[in-house]
Amino acid sequence: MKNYEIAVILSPDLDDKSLPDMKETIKGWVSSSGGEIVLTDERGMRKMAYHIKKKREGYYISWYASLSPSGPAELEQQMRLNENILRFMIIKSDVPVQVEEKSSSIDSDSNVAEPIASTSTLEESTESDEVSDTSPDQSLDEKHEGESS
Amino acid sequence: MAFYRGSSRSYNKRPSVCQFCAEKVTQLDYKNLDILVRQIDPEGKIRPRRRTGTCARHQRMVAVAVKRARHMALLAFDRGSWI
Repeated sequence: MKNYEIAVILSPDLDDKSLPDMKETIKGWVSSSGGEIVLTDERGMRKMAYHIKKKREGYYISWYASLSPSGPAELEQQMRLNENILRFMIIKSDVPVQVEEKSSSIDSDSNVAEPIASTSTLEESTESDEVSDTSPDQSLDEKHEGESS
Repeated sequence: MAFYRGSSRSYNKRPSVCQFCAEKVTQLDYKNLDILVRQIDPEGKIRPRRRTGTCARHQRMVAVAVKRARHMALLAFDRGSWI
């Protein structure tokens, strides 16, 4: 069992009923392949940088889960067939310390074993709809755009 | 082009210390757009080490993170409407 992040962009056409259904479906795929979801990071509707399937926006959500070695391949097969999934990505990734502190993950230490266990059960309570996390890291804040003209 | 070497061609001095080493960064998330936006130029290309001063290890992390962000349509592949 390795830790993965399953990132998904769902279609913006899903309404209030079918959106939770879709999420449940994906969670069902994860659990049916022997996986276990640790943390949910829901970013919500967001404008995409380019059009996908002629859609301008997408519903961003990602799950941190531990999957068996065959899990990613099975998930990929399922996701490819679903039209409501505009784009997905399954990457090896450790669970972040806390979703709210994502912006400070820049200086995150890698020993995240303890906080995971405590936050593992709260899947619904992570409603971070601020897509661009704004926390100033002082020394990183100096803009380099000026030089690159 | 060797023709220009030593002439009035301007250049920006490379920062002496890697900005990520200064922050002791161990992992870089592709969703962290605040940082990634600073690592690409107006064309949407990844900015080279010689301009940003990033060390080799962190430049690899930047490259992976930017490519993942492009795949998830968080950044554009070209001179697009990124942010």
